[in-house]
Amino acid sequence: MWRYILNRLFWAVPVLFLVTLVTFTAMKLTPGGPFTAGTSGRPLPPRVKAQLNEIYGFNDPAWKQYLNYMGGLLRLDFGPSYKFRGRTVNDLMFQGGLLKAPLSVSAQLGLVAVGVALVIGIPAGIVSALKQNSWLDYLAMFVAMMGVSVPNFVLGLILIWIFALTLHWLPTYGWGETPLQAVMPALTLGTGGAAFIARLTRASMLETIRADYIRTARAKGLRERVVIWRHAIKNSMIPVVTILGPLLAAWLTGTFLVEYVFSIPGIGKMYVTSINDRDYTLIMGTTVVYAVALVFFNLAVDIAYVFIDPRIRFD
Amino acid sequence: MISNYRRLSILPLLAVVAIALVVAACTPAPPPPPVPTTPPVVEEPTTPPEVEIPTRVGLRAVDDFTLEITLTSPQAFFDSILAFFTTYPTRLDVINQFGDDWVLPGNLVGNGPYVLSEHEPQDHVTLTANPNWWGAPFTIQTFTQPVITESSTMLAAYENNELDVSGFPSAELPRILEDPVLSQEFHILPRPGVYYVGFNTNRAPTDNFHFRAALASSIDRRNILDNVLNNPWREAAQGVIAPGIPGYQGTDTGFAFDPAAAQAHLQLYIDDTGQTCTADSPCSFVVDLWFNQGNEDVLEAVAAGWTENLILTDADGNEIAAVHATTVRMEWAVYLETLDQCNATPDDTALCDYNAYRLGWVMDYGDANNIVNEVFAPGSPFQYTGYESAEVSGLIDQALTERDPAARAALWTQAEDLIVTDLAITAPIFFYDRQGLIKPWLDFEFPPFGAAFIHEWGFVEGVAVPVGVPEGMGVDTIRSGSTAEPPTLDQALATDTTSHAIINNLFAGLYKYEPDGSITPYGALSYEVSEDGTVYTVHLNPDAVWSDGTPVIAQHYVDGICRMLNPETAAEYAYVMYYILGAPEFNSGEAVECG
Repeated sequence: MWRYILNRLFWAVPVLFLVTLVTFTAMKLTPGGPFTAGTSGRPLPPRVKAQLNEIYGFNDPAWKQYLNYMGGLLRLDFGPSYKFRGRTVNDLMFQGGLLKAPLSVSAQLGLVAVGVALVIGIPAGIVSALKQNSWLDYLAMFVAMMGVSVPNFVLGLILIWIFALTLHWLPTYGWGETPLQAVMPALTLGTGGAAFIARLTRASMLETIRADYIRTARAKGLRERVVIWRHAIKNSMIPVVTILGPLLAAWLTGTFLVEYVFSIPGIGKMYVTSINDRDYTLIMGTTVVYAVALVFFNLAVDIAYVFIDPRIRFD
Repeated sequence: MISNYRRLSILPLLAVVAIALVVAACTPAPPPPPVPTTPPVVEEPTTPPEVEIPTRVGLRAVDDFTLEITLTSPQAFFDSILAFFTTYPTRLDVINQFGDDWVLPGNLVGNGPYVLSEHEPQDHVTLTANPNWWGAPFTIQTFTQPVITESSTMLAAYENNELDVSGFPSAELPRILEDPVLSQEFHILPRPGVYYVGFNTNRAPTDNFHFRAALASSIDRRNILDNVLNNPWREAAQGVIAPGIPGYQGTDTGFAFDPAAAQAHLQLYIDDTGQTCTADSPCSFVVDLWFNQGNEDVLEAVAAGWTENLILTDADGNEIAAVHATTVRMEWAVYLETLDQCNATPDDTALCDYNAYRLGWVMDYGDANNIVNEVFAPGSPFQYTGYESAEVSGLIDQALTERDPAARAALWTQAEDLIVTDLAITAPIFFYDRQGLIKPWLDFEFPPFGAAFIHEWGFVEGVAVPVGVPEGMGVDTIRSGSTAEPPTLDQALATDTTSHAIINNLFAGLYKYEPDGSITPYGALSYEVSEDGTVYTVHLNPDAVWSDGTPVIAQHYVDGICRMLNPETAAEYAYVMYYILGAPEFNSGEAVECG
């Protein structure tokens, strides 16, 4: 297994290199630049623009700028932010420590939301499958369909209207001052995932409980509870675990819409605003963080297969 | 099944490429072949006389509490600059000690009424009362500015009593005005500035005065304000000098909405250009209007007005000429870059493929110089009309040195008349204001320029604060929502309102703006101007100290201005200080000393 992990990590290097190269090229091809407008949004006087281009090395050829950036990246230096002058991208993403750094805040939100998605989605999917075509199945799948169909920002605003404006139970925005601030964002983010996981679990569970080995288990006289819990559920989890890799990578590294609606100081909001600002280094930094997370969680999922499905071996 | 899910792993690459493509898609289509143009009616720019370069910037600390500022020539508006943030003092020793981190809580040393207590990026900034504040005591001890990017969420937070001051999405304005509570908390505050359409004088048909006049006369500004923006209280603009600024002319300048006059101008344009338009062979004139995202409602209404009002018919009612306005919408950065490239190469008619563009300008200080000269002077980098006029330049030069206020205002009005009437290089549409929601227990005031001075706010006696509001609200704390993270707290670099809402309360400049637009002493006690109007001697308040207890001395003001002018700082607003002797040269990197 270690050989497999090392092999995957080795191949992660060219993948990350490709991600930086594509991102850098796309940024450079996109019209506008970080110094097209000043912080006020006004056009920058040509003299100031020239000064900034000189200071930040924008007069160098693109390949040299890329190599300079990659040189810094090897030292884990993501470079200076062009929008937030005087601040580095490392400051913007990691400052604040484990609790308050934007990357950490996004990870906290993502973890809570994944928890919500799993706690709601898996039981709902299992019950639906076991009670197929019953009112419980129809209800669960109707709710799941709603959960998948309603966009995050719409659900977020509906929750704000109910729990903040009408009932006055929860604060409207922010993160970290009180645990109550996590309730609506986690529900908003987690509900869509829960719906998806419920549908996935149901489909997988239906396929599993019709498998030959389940029939065999029943024929051997095992109790239904044991058949379901020990054999069916475990094996029907493979698609769910598979989706967890990219889901964790996406949610733990920031979800723009939920962070935007609830004003959560996470990295997802930063990523999208950095594109509008043409803050090249911040775009690169957040993309690299996302790519690393994706590689890591996909690897973690592959390793998890071994423990879930004894048929899977790395050799 | 597994391989299908695994395809999600290419999402980041696809996302980046997709974003780039979407943004690229917002760029204008490849320009059509250049349209033949007739030379615009412009005058040749005059060659500036050679001037001897000074060896030092005209800034001097005469003693600890006397600052001397020497200008290149008498500049009557310079009083206003004394209240502008470009003159804030700076502690170079603190900057040298902490480097870029000097703006972090615990490091930042200011001379204003508050100190920086917390700054959690993308989350909030909190200021608390400066224990070494040298001015009068004040009520508001804590000022928090949470970042709430989504304006609907901000409004919800305000309605949930989590904020004292809030903005709102424009779509919510009708509900706010109808709501019995919110309508009482809705305030319209002065914010001098103008929203306008500029005309490209290098491209047909807007290279002709009569055509531009026809366009300017066919914009129903009142209808746009009343029915498109739902802002019936706002003033339609015919000139560029905003209400409250000396030189403001109201409807005595520019072109009012008058379809008949617009059609007359269109006919004069046809006559001017020798075209023959008949019912059998009608003339069609295409006008390309460019604007940035977020202005669709207003600019589509402008374009519709041009198309609907600029139709000429013969005696039998047959159409003989018509204007067809097309709109091109762009993302802001793309928009500005395209316009900038056009300004850099005005002769490239293929690149400058627009007849009209939209921009706006919110004034920085209370003098028409800030709009008539800095924006609309020929050659200004802030406008994209491509016009030249020695007459406008001459009037601006006279206004800059004229010290009699009435004569000076008259010169600005003459320059404005040329810009909006005689040359018609722009069609102003409306004047800006500042709209917001403020809780009834707050006693507040906003100056027309810059940000509010929170230490001058208080609480209205007898107005109860609801139960369950955040701690301190209504007692000694204010929470004011902001839709953006302050890009910087460095006063030399900040140019945006979000940053200035904070910086304005951390630092005290020489003078400050009052709600009526006048200036009053702040870090200074008084100033006097030399007889020839070129030397300002400012007497500082000897009681003023920094938040670490160090006295504020004249050298700190010199250091602040020099740092802003230093080319290595690359400060956007350095140009505002170009009226100081040697400042442009120093800012250009020439061998001029400062400090």
